[in-house]
Amino acid sequence: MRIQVRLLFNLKDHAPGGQGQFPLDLPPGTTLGQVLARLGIPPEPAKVLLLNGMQASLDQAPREGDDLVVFPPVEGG
Amino acid sequence: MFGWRDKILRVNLTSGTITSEPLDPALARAYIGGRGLGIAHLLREMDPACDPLSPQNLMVLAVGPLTGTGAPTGARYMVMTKSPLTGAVTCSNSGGQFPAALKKAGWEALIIEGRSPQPVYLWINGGQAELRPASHLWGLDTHRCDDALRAETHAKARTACIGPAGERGVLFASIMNDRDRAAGRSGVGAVMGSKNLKAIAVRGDEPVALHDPAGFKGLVKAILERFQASYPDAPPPLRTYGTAVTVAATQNYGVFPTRNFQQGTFEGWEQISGEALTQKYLRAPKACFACPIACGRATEIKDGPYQGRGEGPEYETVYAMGSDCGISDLAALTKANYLCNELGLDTITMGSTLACAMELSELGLLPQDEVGLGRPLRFGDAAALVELTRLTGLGQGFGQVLGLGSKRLAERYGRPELAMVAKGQEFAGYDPRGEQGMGLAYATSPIGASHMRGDPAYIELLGVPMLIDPHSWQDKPQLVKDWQDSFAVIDAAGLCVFFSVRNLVDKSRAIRPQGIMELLNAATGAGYTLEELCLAGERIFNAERLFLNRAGLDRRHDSLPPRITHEPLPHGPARGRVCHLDEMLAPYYQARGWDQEGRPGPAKLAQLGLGGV
Ligand code: SF4
Repeated sequence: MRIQVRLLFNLKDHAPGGQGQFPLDLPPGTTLGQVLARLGIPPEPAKVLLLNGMQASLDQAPREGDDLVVFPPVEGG
Repeated sequence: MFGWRDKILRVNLTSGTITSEPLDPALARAYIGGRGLGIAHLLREMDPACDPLSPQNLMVLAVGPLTGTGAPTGARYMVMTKSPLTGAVTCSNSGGQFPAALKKAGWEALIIEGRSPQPVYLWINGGQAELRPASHLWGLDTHRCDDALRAETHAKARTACIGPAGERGVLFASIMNDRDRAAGRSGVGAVMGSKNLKAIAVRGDEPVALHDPAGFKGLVKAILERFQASYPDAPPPLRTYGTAVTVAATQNYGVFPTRNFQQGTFEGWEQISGEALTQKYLRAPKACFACPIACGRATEIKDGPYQGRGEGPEYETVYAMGSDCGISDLAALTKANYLCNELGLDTITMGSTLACAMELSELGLLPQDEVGLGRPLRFGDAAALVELTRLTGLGQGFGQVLGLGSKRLAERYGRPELAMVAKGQEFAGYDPRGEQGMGLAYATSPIGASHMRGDPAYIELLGVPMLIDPHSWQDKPQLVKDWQDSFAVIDAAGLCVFFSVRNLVDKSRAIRPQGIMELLNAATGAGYTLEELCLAGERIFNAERLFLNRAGLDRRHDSLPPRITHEPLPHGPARGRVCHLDEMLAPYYQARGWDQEGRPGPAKLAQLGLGGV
């Protein structure tokens, strides 16, 4: 199963090849928590996870073709 | 007094008299300062129904008890007056160095009355103040004006001034301080221009006396340590990328307003993101007084048609002049931002008004010869953005029409519903169809659409200091109320929202300004309790509402355009959604203790000590 991942801001350092956006092959049933672990992204402080643009939790499992966006909480404006 | 300065400077421009008045300690305690002190004076001293560009309108420029104290981000001041753009009250906030200088000169607030017969500027040198002729400055842009003022007052003077836009009464003219920081919104610069007041120059270096200096120092140290700890492996993204860091977030939520809010995603977003800005044009991050973040952008475009140097753009500018106009040319929108700073224009309303004009033009409702570009005005026309911004700031050609803002523009061409405004003020860069709390905040903000009078994007999108579902609306009325009241406390204290928002939620996720209370008490010795402080925030918000009611605004004006409430977003993650304002408004009024016309009831007014005001 393949999903598209986009890591934002300093999390880009965890992307293979340093490119913020990349496809990721996963065994079905893998949770988002496991995805973060696999990418070496520490769970704390908690990240914002968007699965197809909707907020998602660490125990959720993505499906084939899903888009995952991960970013650290940011002040913005 | 500690924290607060014990004096207010009153300037009557009609008679040319300047007087020093004692700060009323009871009023200061009840309203904290800044935005609170401002509305307290406006309510007591002016008729909210007056013409905002007449001498009857009052301007209050107020710092807060934490401004200039060394409290992290204690850099801010508030300009409060009746807005010519909206007819509502406005409170326009700015940082930089000018506010701390005003505080250090010994003043808690300036109250500006009347209208000068000739252009003048106000020179405040510590405890001394005088009005000086300004005919020679009239017509200068804000940078030239800053140069001239410092040459003829003091090299270390800090200035706030209007540009040509404020002189010409552009309804969204800003007041620029320290050259590139803006009290941007709602036309405060037009009010200043209508009073023939070109500028204020101030010099001050007397430290602010604190009630408990050692305790205060300890609190500041702890706050800064906590701040460092929340960014263990990299600097804060807000410093690295500026506020345009938000582009990537709103785009991925599908709430990045595009082509006058016809879409919530923009195909060119990466070209105008915070990353692109940092990579291409950033010279250095720039901090306001006592700010550990430094989200300001000193930028330069080295070559090409938009060559220039200045500050910006911020996220809101990137949205308004970029995606909302369908423009992905970062150099052009940065240049348009420079022009806004120099001519004294609000970038949000400028961009958003142009976006409205572009839609009217594409619908065939805005004749090409009226715009005068020699080509039809279309979304994506970067050269038009730069040229029309210039004409608007100078009050020339079609710029005179754009200078009225999008509400009047859309009315003029027969489609009032195409103005993306609440109370006549243009939206910030968040589409409320994918962010329900923001919709309610836009509709009920006292100054018209604004993200800064209780910004739900922090909790609905950005995860600071917590994250909630942006699509739910049942939980938003109470939450938006609490958030708005807390932001009033930040604004009154003289702090910056971007930093302080982290200190607004306690461990139980309740919204409580605990950290701000501790700083305020160490600075002032006022001994505020949390309950008192929350009530002060609510008092400020309700005092502003009273002003609105007396200016003739009520439930009818707490509205959003039909595009937002009835036209579903066409694609992106928030596809198919509309903003459920109607469902949120009645419970919001209930949470506020207002009647269903949006008026604070007698019990609420009595509880807040606003009964006799
Ligand atoms: S966070 Fe940005 S706007 Fe706020 S005080 Fe710091 S530099 Fe100024």
